[in-house]
Amino acid sequence: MLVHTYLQCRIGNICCQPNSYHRVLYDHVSSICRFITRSSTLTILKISSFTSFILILCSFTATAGDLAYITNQGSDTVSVLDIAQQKITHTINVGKAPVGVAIARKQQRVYISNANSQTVSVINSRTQQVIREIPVNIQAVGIALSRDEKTLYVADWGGAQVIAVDTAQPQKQQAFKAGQTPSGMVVSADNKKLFIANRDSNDITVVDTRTLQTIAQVKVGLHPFALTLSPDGRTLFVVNVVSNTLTLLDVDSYQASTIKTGKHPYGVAISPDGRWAYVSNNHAESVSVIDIASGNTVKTITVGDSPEGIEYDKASHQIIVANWGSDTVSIIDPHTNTVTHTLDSPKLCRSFGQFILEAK
Amino acid sequence: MKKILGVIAVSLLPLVPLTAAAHGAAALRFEKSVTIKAPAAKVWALVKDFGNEQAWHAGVESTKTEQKKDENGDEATYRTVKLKNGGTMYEKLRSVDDAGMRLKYEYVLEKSTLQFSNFYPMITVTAKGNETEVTVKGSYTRADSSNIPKPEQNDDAATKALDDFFGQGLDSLKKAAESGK
Repeated sequence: MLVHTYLQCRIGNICCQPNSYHRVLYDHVSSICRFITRSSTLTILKISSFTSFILILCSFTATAGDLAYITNQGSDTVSVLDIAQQKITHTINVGKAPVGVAIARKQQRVYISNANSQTVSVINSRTQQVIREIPVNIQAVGIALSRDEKTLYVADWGGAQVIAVDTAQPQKQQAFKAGQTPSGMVVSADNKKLFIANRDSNDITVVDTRTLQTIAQVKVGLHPFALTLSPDGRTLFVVNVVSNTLTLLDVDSYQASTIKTGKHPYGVAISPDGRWAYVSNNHAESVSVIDIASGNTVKTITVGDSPEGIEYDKASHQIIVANWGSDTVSIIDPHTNTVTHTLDSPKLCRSFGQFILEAK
Repeated sequence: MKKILGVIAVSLLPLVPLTAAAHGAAALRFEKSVTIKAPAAKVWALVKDFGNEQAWHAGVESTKTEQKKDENGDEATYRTVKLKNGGTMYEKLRSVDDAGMRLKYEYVLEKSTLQFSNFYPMITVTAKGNETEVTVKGSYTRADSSNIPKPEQNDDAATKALDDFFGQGLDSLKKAAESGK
């Protein structure tokens, strides 16, 4: 197993473009991999040259780098960004005005909310092709998955409800109550609670994922929009667009504290060590780097115009920011807190939600 | 007569949303530029004067500013712009950046008549050799954010209202700046 891990590390650096040859290879190798996994540990420990070869192949095919799915609201497409290579590898046509992203890693699916066609596009993340479009009949913006990926939550921007969609049978949908203009959503680490940021009622609705009933309604700042969880799952971070603040909410006690951000914070990402918050300031063309413990902004990084979606890529230690106003994606190195790459993306890129597909 | 006016006033009420409008699900981006044969400093002096829009915009009758606390309790400058066509625009000054020649403000639909919302323009003045480029850029949404918007408050109506206002405005800014005054 050590050998396996070692090989994966080494070979993980080599990025392979998925093509038909690799796909065929992948199918062959995955069946062998599945066979090996089913065999006893003893068999694996007997490392003959053959099994070494197979292990190399397993690693080679299984470790393409992390991918960021960038929604381009103005061109009805999604760009797939290979983060390690800093390159757009695919541009996928989806519904009208795509905004939100939810990643189902186990299913190998990516769900995209389309505000204007009032649908959800489902992308197969192995082939990067749209396999279906689910009508939801609401202005779909915020979108999130349950931890088991069985339920997709789609928020109704034009109202005060969220739709729970059964991912196995997408025609099975159930609407339930939220606050006014529900926006960003995230499911707790234990899968028991759904947190909904309600932009126009200035609060967070906490929903029991089993009953879809409201457990709590917690006041935050003005116009809460995006939210995310700390890596340990204990703290919910919510950006309040009009208050120019970040609310830190305990996921159990709902005790809150507040940190100042830049102008019109639209997105927030947390470093894997839980120490730093990166906030995209939609009206300041910048990202604030905030020391969570002290609440101090240690650096303000200039990015493109109207930055929105932001996420931290754990594998490569880079931060991805979609700049809606300048049709670019900024890549930030968190070690230096500088922009290392700026990539063009089609019109009005947003990537609202959790938009990085982790390779492992 | 009073009674009739009262009925009209009441029936007009639903046209003006009373709650703070949300940013649109799919905010739109407005961008319009003009090239002016005049020094950038002269153009910027006109644009930055938040309380004097009639000096460069041909569609503006008058501008009145006031100081008051904003939704966060911070002191802010607001202006009421009366249009020659009878309309009103109520706007909050966000920043005046003299070094970068950039003016940022915000349109408040609740106290205005043009049917667009969440409009956050940035007007940038840039020297280009002997000429000056002025760009108005900003996000906006339709006035009715519901799932099935009224035709007079949909995306197209919002885009047309902005296009008309700044089409006329940038033309007249060009004239004002290029004239000898």
